Amino acid sequence: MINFEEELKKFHPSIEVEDAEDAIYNHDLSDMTDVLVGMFKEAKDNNE
Amino acid sequence: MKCYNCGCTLSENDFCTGCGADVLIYKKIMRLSNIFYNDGLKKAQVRDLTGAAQSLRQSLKCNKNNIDARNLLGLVFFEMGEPVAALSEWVISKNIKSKKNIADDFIQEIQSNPTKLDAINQTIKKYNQALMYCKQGSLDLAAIQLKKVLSINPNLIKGYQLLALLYIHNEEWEKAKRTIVKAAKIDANNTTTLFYIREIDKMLEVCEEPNVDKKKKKPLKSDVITYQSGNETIIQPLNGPEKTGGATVINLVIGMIIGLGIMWFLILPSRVQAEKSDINKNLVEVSDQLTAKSATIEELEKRVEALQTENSDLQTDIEGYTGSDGVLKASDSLMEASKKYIEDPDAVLDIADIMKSIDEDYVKGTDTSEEFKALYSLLHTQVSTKAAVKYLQTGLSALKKSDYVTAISDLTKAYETDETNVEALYNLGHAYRKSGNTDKADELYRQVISLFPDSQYANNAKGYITENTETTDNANTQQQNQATDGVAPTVTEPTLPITDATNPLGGVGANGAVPGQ
Repeated sequence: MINFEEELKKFHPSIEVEDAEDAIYNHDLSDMTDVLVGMFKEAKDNNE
Repeated sequence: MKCYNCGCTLSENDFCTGCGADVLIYKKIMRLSNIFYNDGLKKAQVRDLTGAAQSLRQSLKCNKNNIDARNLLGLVFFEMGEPVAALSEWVISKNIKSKKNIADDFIQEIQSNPTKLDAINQTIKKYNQALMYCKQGSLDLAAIQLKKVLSINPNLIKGYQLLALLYIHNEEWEKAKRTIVKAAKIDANNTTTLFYIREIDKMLEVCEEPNVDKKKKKPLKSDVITYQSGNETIIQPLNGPEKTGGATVINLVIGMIIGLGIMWFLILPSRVQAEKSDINKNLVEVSDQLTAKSATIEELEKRVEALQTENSDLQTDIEGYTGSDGVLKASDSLMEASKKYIEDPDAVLDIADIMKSIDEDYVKGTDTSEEFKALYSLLHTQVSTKAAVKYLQTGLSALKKSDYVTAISDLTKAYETDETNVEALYNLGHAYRKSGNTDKADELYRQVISLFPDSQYANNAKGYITENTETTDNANTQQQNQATDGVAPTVTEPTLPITDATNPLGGVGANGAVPGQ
């Protein structure tokens, strides 16, 4: 049996067009490549 | 594939030939990103949008610069009814690669239709509002709002899911089923959708067993049938027996009567009024024409009168020329008289007769030509005297013969021809007297006395006037005495008994001489 309240919590409001700019700015663009580069830098720094 | 460190194109080696950086793991990450992209593409092709979105996110997590994955993710979001998320991905994609990027076309297509963009924005706002209604407990309002949203944006999967949830909450399994099936058509493997479908099917199975009718129909106690048509519930009362044909005919008749009544009271008066106004207009036109015609007729009648008057005047003028007293007639008579004179100058009586037919007024008139007057005067002078003498002779001759009619005629002509011929006048008086017209005779005698008072005829005439008969007798006696005394007698008395056989009438000349003696 479906719990209405529980299911309702899973629904979130959609982003409106006016909020698109903020959404784009706040978009997390980091990927594994960035993590890898970071790791290599850290390793290099540690070696130094 | 470019080196993450220096941007140099990588070779088959596990290190960058440009900067020497270790690229083994980097290459693996890139390959993983591509694998996820391919997986996402396959899922998108079979309409597993949720799965495709997950795979593509994974691909972008591995490589944020995977433009294809980002563009496809945007497309998947748009198909799921999330335009803002789609726009975000495309904008980011365009920022990463500005040229030869299909994301540019996607963005252009959305922005070129501002009306649609605004409509999409409205649907998003209404969905958010519906969600708020749900959290506030206004489930009916939320349902209404969601229906509106889904009618505008039929690809909003979340909308279908939320509406299905509401129906499930209200235990409206059929509606919920229909709604969630639409979501499943857009996104086949959506977890929430599949979950709801399973739950609904479960509940439908449970409901079918105890009461089969509830699945499709719910005939109420008042004989009402309920069934679904799309998103709507139709409640149709079970009607009784169909109306008979008689009722239909009666309804038709009533309808016709009402229609006729409407026509009679509404349409017909206006038509009649329109016809009347047309007739009046025609009447006015005809009246105007009639007036104009009457004026024309009056004018023509006046012209006819004028022409008739002119015609009669012209006729008169013509008659003046051609009538018995006309100019032409006068000219012809003068020419005839001239001709006669030229042929026989002695035929004075005939010439005089002809000239008598010429109107003296015309001769004296101002319109007469001078040549006409000269010729007339010449002829008259030549002829009148001779004619007068001849008429006198014939008149006296007739008088002697007691042919008073001829005598009167000839003596009259003689006098008319020559008005200085007192003898003719005098003997004319005798002719009238002898014929018994004493009044006329007296008149002529007086005329002689008045016109020729110094002549012997005047003295004689005095004696013949009827009232002076005795005086005349005395005068005759005196004359006889004078004659014996040597005075030449001047008057003879025709009334006296005729003593001269050669002069039975007693008509004498001016000196008392008796013709024939």
